Amino acid sequence: MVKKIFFVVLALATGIAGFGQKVKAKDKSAPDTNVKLTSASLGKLEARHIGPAVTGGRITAIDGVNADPRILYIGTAGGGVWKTTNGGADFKPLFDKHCQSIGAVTIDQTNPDIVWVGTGESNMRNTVSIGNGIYKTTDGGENWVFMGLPNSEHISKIIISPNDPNTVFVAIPGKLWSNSPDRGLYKTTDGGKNWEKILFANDSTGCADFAINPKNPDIMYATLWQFRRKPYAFNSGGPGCAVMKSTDGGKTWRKIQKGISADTIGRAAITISPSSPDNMVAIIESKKTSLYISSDAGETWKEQSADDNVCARPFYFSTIVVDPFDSKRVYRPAFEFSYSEDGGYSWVRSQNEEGWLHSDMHALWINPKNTSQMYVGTDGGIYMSVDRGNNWIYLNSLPVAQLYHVQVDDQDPYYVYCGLQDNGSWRAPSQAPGGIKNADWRNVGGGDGFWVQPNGEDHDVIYSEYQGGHISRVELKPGQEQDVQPKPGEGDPKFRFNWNTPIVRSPTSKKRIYMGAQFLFKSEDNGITWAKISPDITTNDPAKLKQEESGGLTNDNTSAENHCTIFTLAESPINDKMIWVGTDDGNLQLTQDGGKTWNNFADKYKLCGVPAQTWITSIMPSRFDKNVVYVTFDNHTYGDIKTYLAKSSDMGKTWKLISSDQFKGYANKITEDIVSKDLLFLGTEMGLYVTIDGGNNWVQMKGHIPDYAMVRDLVIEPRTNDLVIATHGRGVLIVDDISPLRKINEHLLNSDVATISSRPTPVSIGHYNSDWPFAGYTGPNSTEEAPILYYLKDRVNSGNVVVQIYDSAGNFLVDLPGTKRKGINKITWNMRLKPPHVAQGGSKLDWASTIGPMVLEGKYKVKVLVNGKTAEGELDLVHDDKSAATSQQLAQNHDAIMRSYNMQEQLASLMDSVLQEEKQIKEAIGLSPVIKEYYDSLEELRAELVPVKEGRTVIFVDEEKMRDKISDIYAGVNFYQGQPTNSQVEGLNKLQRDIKDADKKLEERKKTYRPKVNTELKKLGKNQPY
Amino acid sequence: MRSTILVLLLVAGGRLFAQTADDIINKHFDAIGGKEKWARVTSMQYTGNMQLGPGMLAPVTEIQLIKPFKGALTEFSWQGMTSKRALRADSGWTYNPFSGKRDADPMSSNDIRSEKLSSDPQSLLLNYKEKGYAVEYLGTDDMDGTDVFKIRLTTKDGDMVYYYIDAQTYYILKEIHRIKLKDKEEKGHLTFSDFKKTDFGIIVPYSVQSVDENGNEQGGPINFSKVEVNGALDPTAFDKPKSK
Repeated sequence: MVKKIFFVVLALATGIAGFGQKVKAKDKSAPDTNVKLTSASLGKLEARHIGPAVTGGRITAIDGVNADPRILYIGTAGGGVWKTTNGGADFKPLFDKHCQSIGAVTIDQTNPDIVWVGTGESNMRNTVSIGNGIYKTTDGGENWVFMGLPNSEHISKIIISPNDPNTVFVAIPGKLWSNSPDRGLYKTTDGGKNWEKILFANDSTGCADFAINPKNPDIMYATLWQFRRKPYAFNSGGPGCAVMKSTDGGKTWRKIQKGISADTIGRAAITISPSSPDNMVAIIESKKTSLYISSDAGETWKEQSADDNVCARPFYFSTIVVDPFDSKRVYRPAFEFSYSEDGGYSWVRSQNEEGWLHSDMHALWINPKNTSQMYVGTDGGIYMSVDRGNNWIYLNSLPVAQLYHVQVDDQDPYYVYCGLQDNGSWRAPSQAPGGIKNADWRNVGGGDGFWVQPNGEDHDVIYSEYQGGHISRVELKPGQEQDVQPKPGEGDPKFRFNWNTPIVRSPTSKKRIYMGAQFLFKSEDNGITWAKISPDITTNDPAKLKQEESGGLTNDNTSAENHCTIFTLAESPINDKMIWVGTDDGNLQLTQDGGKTWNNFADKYKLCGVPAQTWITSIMPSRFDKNVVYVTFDNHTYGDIKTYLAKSSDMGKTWKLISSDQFKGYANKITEDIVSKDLLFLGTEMGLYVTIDGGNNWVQMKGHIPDYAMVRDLVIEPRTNDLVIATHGRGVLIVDDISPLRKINEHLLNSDVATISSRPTPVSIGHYNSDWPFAGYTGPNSTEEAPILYYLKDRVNSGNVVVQIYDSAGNFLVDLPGTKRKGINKITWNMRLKPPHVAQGGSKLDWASTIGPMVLEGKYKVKVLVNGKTAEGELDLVHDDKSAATSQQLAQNHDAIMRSYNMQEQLASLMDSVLQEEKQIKEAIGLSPVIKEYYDSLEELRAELVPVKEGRTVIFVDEEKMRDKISDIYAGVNFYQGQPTNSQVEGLNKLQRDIKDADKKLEERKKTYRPKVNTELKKLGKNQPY
Repeated sequence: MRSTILVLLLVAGGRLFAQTADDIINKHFDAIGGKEKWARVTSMQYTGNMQLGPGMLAPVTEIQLIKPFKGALTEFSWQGMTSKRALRADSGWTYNPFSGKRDADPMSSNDIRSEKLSSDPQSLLLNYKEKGYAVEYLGTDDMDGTDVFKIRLTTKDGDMVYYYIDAQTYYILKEIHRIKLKDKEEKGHLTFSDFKKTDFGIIVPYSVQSVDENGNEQGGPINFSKVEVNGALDPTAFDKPKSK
């Protein structure tokens, strides 16, 4: 059927001209009242992903197609699965409808379109997210099918049997925060329809690693790992841990630890040399974590004196890989990248000459067709090496940054500020020439980044922090930063700062900032002076304050387990003496007198169904009513992943749990709109949700937002009404202008067609259209064309949607094709009229005249026509404040545009006359020398007006005729908003004369030749054309 | 509606999935005029305009002739010039005069393979088994708020076409063409609307829109004013133009 035509035409049409518009609601249709808000209603209210990819997020799994190593699948900690088909030049997300935390990715090398993905990464750090089972694609990632294991939460490895692609083994460490029987080693023999648990120790011990002898798949190895996190401590190791072996395909297992010195072990990583499978390497966590090698298929182990990098943090670094063909070449991506050339006896670290490889590594894939080439996954993205891991190239097109928080400033365009897991703090403009490129991001803090706050008064002063509350005031102009962390004074206890310590700006004072330890601190002078304005308002439970003992076998105290701390706080926008504080141990405190007295509502919110001790993740005091406050709670660190959102309308005395069958994932952030009190946004670990009725009904926002996006923070920029979304794995997402959500109501939802107004648009050719095309990920800008929004109750399958633009007097200007989707449609108008009719009969296209003239600022009317129904609205095109042009200059420019426009049409008309004249005598050229003479004279004239050379194979212009000269000026004035140059004006004057002369020439030739032609043809007995 | 579909699928169980693909395809053809009528289609000629910008329309035509496959031709006119792309049984050519060239160029083997997937006037789904294609039902999906069935057709070369079939009307609302070439994979996404009955009695979309992977419109739509089935076509239309 019809398809080809589009593919053919598109290349010619793309990029020539824009469409667009914008409107005000006036619905004439008769509504029924059945339709409720759904995700589909939100339609084209979609997010754009601005990055960053200047640095990455955590990469958890990599697998490549052995037969075609350009194709790789990348699993990430919070951004789903990505695929490259070009070795890493670019990546595309494949897993946006599914859980974004990825533990394992395995390709069926016998049919590389089959790929297995295990959700839930198994690098069991404090901020690790959770998965919901295993998935399979049979078409290279286009479609995914859920294949079970829904309660696994964390999957560390998937291995397909070398003998049978339908036999698959899955290593499941299992739940991190609670006991669970759903862990161990699982096997399917029917491609995932049924699963059998073939190795299990107990409810707190899972399977951390797994390996199969590629030459004899009945021989396999697994490591069992006992581990548990609590909100305030981590334990790795215990009696459940073991290194196991089976020689009958997993039916029976026995422990193989001969030569391993420790009685009690923890997490063990194990690998087989593919070329010599009896040779194995393992890193065994114990009180003295060591690397072991075996040359007898694991029966005996020999300890090696590996260095600290090889043995570091075994709970977090569990990757060890042997070269596919060289059993002596062993790779250990860990804190740094180490490799051995003697089977693990000695180790060296990568050279990284003139470069940098991000620390903390979790995945390595070696190209079997060229083992010098490999890819490593780090906490900071993916790198490629072409020299066996010695030096690394960062692949800067994978935007999977893991944000904790996001903020914006009040510049135009506003800047976005964000703190990234293990990747510092950054800022970038929300609009930039050619899009938001990696180079547009500026680093404003190191370490792990969390809260970043722009100073309210100076755009070059920023507050950022690294883990454990190490706040700095960053001054960009002098290029320095000052440590402004509050320090204990006389009589103070040690301050306990959360891993992710809140730094919060006051909504009522530009100078005021807050931060919290177990005490709340306030500064009125940019962090120079801090006042402690609360007592210890946590539970201060001694049982939860033993972080120095945390880690289990391997002590690990990075502030990640700091507890009994303030985690969130908010000053009321309508009363600066009202400050709400939430702690990680369940206290919800309020002061109404600027910190003199505090009330704890922990016992009150429990009554509505939120469990005690729950981590309080965000507080939103209403800007419309000081009695109203919304709070999100996260109880996943006690094994409870339900969504808890509560509201109090009496300043905390009583609470109502807000629930919805739409919610999934623990709650991270609640935000109230800045205009509509009933418009709220909720970010959870598995999606973004919105309500337009104060929380009674919720729908998920899915427009270019992954269904399971880990939404950690939300902020609305007040000038643009943009919703800026911090995701923990997909960087910064921006939904431009959410103001249409304020206008959605039952009447609109039940209208067949209705227009929706959005923000005014400055008349401009666009400020951020182009830049040098840099490599790497580039985030899209917001449109600078005029948006036209309209709502359709149903998809339009019959007829077309036409959008018409009229001036304020009701004169029709142009029409645009409307989109037809259900819900909110959004098209844009480039604010240009129909292009001029250009002279035809040339040998090449006149590209400049494919663009119409820009309209002037003012009010415009819009009509949306759908199957006999019409919705009307208005467009507000306003002065471009970024332009220095005066109204007079703009009018001069418009005059030049319209003069050149009209000249194009005059020339077209003249050319039509020439062509018509030629057509009349073309067949008779051979009949008479006079007729040929006339025809030649017309051709001579045509060659003055348009390019006529044919048969060229070059793409550059090599003829400049009258049409080209007019187009040159037309394009020049039409792509600029300001005073035209004198050359342009004088050039138009000259061209106007040229057209007149050409017109005169034609008339003279007509006068001279027409009678002669008629006479000649009459003599020959032919019809006379003139 | 969608929940109803999901419940029905759960009741039906996995063993019926292959049968369901055929059920859906059968219902699709029932909805657009019936298989018998479609089997009698030997040629199609589409005439219309592509909207290139505000108020900018460019005339387009496409003709497709089969039984046996004779060829397909696409024409696109602008500023008095007309570009052409033609596909023959085992060859093809392109003619692009917009930069002054007046010779036709041979079509690459990649393009021939790609265009063949788009040049069957009967649709690849009609008698897909006889044509050597495999079809699989992939389940339901939400296409811009509309419930759809997803069907995947795979050719012997491994190329794929994904069909998004409206769960209520059984019209094809979207196709994704995925061509697996030697050095690269190409993808094209098209959506269809303005379904109308032709004089021949079959229902076809009179509006076609290209979209990107995220569903964003790429350029304007092509709207057809006329779709002629089994009309008189000039077989020389597929001949490569002679050089000037």
